[in-house]
Amino acid sequence: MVDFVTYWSMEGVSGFFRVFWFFILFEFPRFIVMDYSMLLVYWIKGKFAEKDYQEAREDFLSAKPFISVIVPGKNEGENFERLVESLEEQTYRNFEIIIVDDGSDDHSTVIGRHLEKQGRIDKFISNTVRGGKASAANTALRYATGEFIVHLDADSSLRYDAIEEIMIPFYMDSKIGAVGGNLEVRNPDVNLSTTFQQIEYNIFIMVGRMVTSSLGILRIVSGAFGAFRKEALDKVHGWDIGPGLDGDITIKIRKLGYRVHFEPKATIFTTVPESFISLAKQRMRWSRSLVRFRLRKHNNLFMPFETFDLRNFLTVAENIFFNFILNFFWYIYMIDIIVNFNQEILYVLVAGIMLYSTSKFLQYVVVLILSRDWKRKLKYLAYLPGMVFYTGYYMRFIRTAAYLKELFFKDSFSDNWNPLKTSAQAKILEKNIERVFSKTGS
Amino acid sequence: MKKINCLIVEDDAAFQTVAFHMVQKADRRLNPVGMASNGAEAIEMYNRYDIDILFLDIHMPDMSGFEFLDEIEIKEDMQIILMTGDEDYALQAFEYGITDYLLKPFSAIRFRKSVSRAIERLKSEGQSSSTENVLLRKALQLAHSRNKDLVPVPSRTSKLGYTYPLLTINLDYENEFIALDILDSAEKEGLLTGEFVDYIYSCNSCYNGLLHFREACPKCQSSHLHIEDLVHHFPCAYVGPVSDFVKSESSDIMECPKCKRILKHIGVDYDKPSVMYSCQQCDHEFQDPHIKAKCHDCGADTRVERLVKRKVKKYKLTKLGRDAATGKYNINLKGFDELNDIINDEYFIRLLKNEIGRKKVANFDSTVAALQFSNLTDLYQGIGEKGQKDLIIELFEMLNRELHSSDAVIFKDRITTLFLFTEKGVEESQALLTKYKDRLAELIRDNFDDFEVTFEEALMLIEEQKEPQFHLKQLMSSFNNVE
Repeated sequence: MVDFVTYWSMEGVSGFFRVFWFFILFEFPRFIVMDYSMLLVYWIKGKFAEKDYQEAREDFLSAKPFISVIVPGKNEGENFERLVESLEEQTYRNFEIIIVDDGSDDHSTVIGRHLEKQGRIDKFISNTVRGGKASAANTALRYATGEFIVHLDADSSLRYDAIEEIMIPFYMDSKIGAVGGNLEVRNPDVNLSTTFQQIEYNIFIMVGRMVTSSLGILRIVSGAFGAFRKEALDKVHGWDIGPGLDGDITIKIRKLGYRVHFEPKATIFTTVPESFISLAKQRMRWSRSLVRFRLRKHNNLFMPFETFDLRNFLTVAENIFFNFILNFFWYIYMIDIIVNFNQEILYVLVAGIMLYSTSKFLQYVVVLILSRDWKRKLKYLAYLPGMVFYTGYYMRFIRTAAYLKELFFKDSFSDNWNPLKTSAQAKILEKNIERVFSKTGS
Repeated sequence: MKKINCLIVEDDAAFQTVAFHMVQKADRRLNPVGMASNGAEAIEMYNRYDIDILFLDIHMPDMSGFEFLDEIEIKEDMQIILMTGDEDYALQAFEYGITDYLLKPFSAIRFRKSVSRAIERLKSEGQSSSTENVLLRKALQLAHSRNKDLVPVPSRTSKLGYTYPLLTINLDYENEFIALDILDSAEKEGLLTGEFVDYIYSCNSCYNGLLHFREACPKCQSSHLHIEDLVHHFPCAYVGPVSDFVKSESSDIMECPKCKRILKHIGVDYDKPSVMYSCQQCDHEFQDPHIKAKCHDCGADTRVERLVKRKVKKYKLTKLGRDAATGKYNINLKGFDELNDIINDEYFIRLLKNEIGRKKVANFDSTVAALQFSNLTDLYQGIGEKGQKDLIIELFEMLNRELHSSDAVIFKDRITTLFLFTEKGVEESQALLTKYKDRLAELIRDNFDDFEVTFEEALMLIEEQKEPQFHLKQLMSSFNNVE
């Protein structure tokens, strides 16, 4: 301990900068500085926007638009009851519920039909042949009659005012085409894995998306809870094959010139994986989609075409830089540390944990300030040091593996998350696109 | 169950009344069609009715009982019970082949034994005479003599859609379904062995088996529906009905409305994952239509879930069945409808009519009462048809054990019991009714997990100037559920 203090007092500020350059250059400005700036902007804006918000709310309630709540899914039958119950308790009531069952092999169809018979859901459409999540969502969209579409995952339940809150931004800004809702973990206290996810969701989804949203570079409207103008979805003809279809459709809507907004007050509770292994599988899927959609499908966002839009460019660039490039850059940083600080590695490690814990703490303070139920979330402060390992190593390794596999093996096309038939077709499509691009390039 | 017609021939008016009451109490199937006090009257009545049991006095003013028997044409299976104060005629009586010889004065027990013996012999001689038994016997005889099985033959002219020629021939169109009930109980009695052939669904109000099936909108029940396959185009994940993809009516080419590509092969770049219905009446879109069956006989339009489903079997005669066909065994289908004797307000009305008649000539109070189980239907829902029947039979038997010998009880329907208290005032009757209520409630509690049955009740004095129907209406009108 004494050695540790002696070491760092000898190194001084310049030594600290030398060791933790990765943090100071990239992570500190991106997360701490940005979070607090956003908080400040949000606070100032909030002072002026309260009136706008109330006006928009009144506009919304007097317009009373018809909304289609669509819920595509496979083998989700056991979740229907709870979801429908939370929809029945909504403050806003003018909506229809369409559940699309994508070739379930459990009792989902029976449960869905039963709810339909009871009149608790308006349409239950069962595709007996599985077609993938995008096709299920598109089926729902085809039969939706609402002016707005709210897309939900079946394994979630809504806060009593969630529908109302997610709709209000549309009435604050007519250019908004899609609004993402806030995701809270429904099962945070099951085990360490779900507790970490609860903190992660709060830091990266709630605060993270508030930051990107206020900068106008929100890149994803979460599939678990997102609202869309029907006309916007109709223009892009619904969802394309996933995984990552929610991020993909957000980009497509942005390309049409719509704004995309994140609404932290519209809250949905979602069930997260309860083991580190199933969590890893889920994140592999999410991460692969970054390569597939950002780097491949929407690579024209980087090209200085006539459609170039700085915000759209930044949206994707931010995502790619911080998640993809820095992910690999970090290994260079690690080599630097191991090679140059071989002798003092223990001191560096301990200091690193302290530094990152402090950083997590600062980020979590923002979470607490922005949360309506901050008292409940106080207890998770104790888990913040653990988060250093969770996001610093566990998540990083999963991402790396996912990127590499997708880059070199196009892994997502053989993912059994989609049926084989659609993956095969998507692969052919991608090849054709590549061919067209290489032709125009030459 | 067929009624057994009885004629009482007796010149002593007092004894006539006694005999009448004894007949009524002895067996509920007995139906005293008349009482004659002399030979001439007796002959006239005998010729008017189809008499099964004759209660005959030997001494009459105009002729003796034997002379009367000489006068009439004695039906082959008729049972005669002689009632006389003189035992000298015994020998002569047996020459006439009479069933029994009752020496006055006789006890009610002796009388009852005599009657039940007569009924027994009536059955064995005339074979059981209920329609079901007759029909079955004929069918068995035909099957046996032709060495054929009872085979269901599909037929569009029969009510059920299947006919058993040997049996159905004797049933009119409206009652053809009874054939299945008869064969069912015959199998249970061991007369036949059945082998499954088919299931039929028939109308739940008239048993018509030839129904008109079609899909209907679950919202407005209209059968005017448009049905379309859904198409899923794999490359772009678009899903919509076939009509979204059809470019023009003249060509078969399907073009994806999302990505504008031409669809090539089903299974390769697209498939049809499901079917959508849209109602042309109310625009409702759905996948799970109601399937409804319309009966062109009675006009009912029923959801198929509520149709009556019955097994149709091919039957072979057993050894017992052949014995029955050759008359070695007496067919008496049990449990054909066990409740026929219990739920029978006709019988009650007859008793009531007699009681009113009695009141006209004598001065006493009698009452009728009705007891309704107001929540028994809750219990019925869970126990099914068989359970309901068993419960009613048990309740009825219990009441009969408790009842005074001069009183009577019957079920009007499955939740209403009627009581006749003879020569009892309101107070006395009420006390009895309360006692029976307690016993009924106790029995139900014991048998059905403490189910607490609740009652509504009505009690009234019999008015001799009013019809029996009036009394029943009066009783029933005091219950809430009367329309």
